[in-house]
Formats: sequence, C-alpha cells, structure tokens
Amino acid sequence: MAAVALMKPAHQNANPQAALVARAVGGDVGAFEEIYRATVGKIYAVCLRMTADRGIAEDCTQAAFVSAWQKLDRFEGRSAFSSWLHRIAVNEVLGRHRSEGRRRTHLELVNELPTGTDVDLQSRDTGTNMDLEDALQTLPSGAREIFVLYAVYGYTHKEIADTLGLAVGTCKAQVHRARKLLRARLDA
Amino acid sequence: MNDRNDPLMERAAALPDEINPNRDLWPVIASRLTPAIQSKPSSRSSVWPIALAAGLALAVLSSAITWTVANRADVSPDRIAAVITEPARPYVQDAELVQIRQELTAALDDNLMRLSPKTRRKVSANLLEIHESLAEIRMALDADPNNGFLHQLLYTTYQQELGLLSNINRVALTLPDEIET
Repeated sequence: MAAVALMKPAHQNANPQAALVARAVGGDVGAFEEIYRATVGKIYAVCLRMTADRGIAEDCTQAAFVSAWQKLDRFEGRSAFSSWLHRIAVNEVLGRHRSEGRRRTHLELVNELPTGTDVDLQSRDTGTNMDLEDALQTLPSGAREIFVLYAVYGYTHKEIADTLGLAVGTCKAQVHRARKLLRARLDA
Repeated sequence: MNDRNDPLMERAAALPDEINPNRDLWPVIASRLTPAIQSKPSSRSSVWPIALAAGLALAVLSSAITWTVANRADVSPDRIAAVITEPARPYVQDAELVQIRQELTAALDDNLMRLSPKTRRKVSANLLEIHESLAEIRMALDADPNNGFLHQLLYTTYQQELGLLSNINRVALTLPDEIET
C-alpha cells in the first residue's frame, strides 16, 4: 500500500511539494530531483548574488542541495521547505568564505573600487533590474552579502548579525555603505 | 524613516526570485547523495515491485548471484570493473552522468584495492547488486522501450551507482598511499 501511495503522481496530492519532501525524506532520489528542478533557480540566484562568481555560485548551489539531502530527516516543517533550503544555501556561501579566512578582511576593506564580476544575467527581464544587479556585483563582498540578505531577501539586521557573528551595528553600517555605493554607481 | 521604504531598497526587494544556472547541476549533486541513500530506505525499494514484475524471469537468477557475491570471501575487482564499464547509453542520454561514470569507473579497480578486504567485499557486493538491478531494468526496457517509469527508474538507479562509485573514490583518496591487504 505504501508503495502505491508513494508512486501516486505529485499533482494528485493536495500539496505537491509537501508530498515530494515526504518522499525525499524516505530516500526517494527522484523526488529530491523534482525538488531540485523546482527550486534551483531561487537557490542559484541567492548564491550568485552573494558571491558574484558563477563558478562559486554553482559549487555552493550543489553543496546546498547535498547538505539539504543529508539533513532532510531534520526538516520539521515549521517553515516552508523553500525557506529552509534558502537558509542552507546562505550558510554554504558564508561557510565557504569563513573557511577561506576572507570574511573579516572583506568586511574591513569596504572601499569604492569595483570587484570583478562574473554574472549570469539570463533571467533578468528589465533594464532597471539589470542595472541594479550589475551594481550589486561591484560591491565589496562583505557589504554585498549583507545588503543582498537585507534588501533582496528581507532578513533583519539581527538575523544577519546572528548568522554572521557580527554586531547589529556593523550590519547596519554595511547596509548604509552599500546603499551609498549603489546610488553612486547607478547615478554614474 | 524605515530604510526599506527607500526606492533603492524597494528595487532590490523586487529583483527576480530566480536566476537559472547555465548548466544542469543535478548530476554532480546526485553523485554525492550516496551516504544519505545508504542510511535511508532506498527509493528503489519503494518502487521495486514494478521492476521485479517486469523482470520476473530474472529474479531467481539475480538472487542467486547476489547470494553468491554476498557470501564470497572476496570479490575480484576485475569483475566489478568489467560489469560497471557496460555503457549507460543508449538509455541514459545525460552526457555529464555518462562522463562522470566513465571517469569513476576508470579508477575503480585501483580504488577498490585501497580499501580493506571487508570494506571491499561489502561495496563490491553493493555495486554488483546495483548492476544486476540495472540489467533487469534494461531488459524490461527492451521489451517496453517507451515505459517512462522504467526510464526514470533506470536513471535513478544509475545515479545511485554513480553515488556509490563517487563514494568509493572519495574514501580511497583519503587513505594512505600504501595498499591495504
């Protein structure tokens, strides 16, 4: 009976993603691949915006899904699965920076010089968005990460501070500085 | 003033939710899922009744082979490599999966010989079991080539095989250079 229920097409379930998650928790790789197909755009977007590097963003995206798979049995459903996955991706990006020992340096070296960009623009659909996306990629990495989490993804200063192990005031200062840099670049 | 009301912040909040990568990242992800697969009930087991029904004539033979492998003192790595090198095509068209599989298979014998006999025996038996499953599914597909479920099952099983090959490779690389005996 269980096998019949598991093989029921997802569209016949009241909540297709919940059904997919349930199947994936049971070890169903096919269900997990469906989840990947449905969410990879969002996960890659946050990784790309935070890293400004397509290759690193791909690595972080892959690592995030592998990590999610390994932690599936710990997903308690208290938040949306996509939110849970998003957090894992953010942690992958931040963990990569921490392991490289670059985080503190980047936070301290916020400056006016643009960094190298390697951005996939394929899904941007308006000139305005493309301008802002481009400007985001020129921010110093520390300011960019914090601004992206705060302004694009709606994290609070406290959430960012807790995640990064920083003071709330530091996060606010980085957002303030990022806004100044972005305005200057968008007006240029 | 709430800085989220700033026009720049509103523009940032309105950026598209999705940016799709230029390439499919799934094959590499799938190749890294093995540890979780091993610790959880396999999806293959949940759909296995259909595959068994399709390959019923092979079931007894398969079980006998599996029993023999599992109870053998050791399994020759040569045999493992030989069965694994059977091409995934024409059923699997995912070029990246095929390429990764070829690369991992090329190193399989050396990697297996680096493992302890007990570990080698276990993973060899697992590999052969996966291969036997693949053979059954492929035979079922020969009889019913348009069966979408069998194609999906085959692909998923190849991913499991790829995950196990990847895991063997990863473990072997962490061992000292001297070959265990």
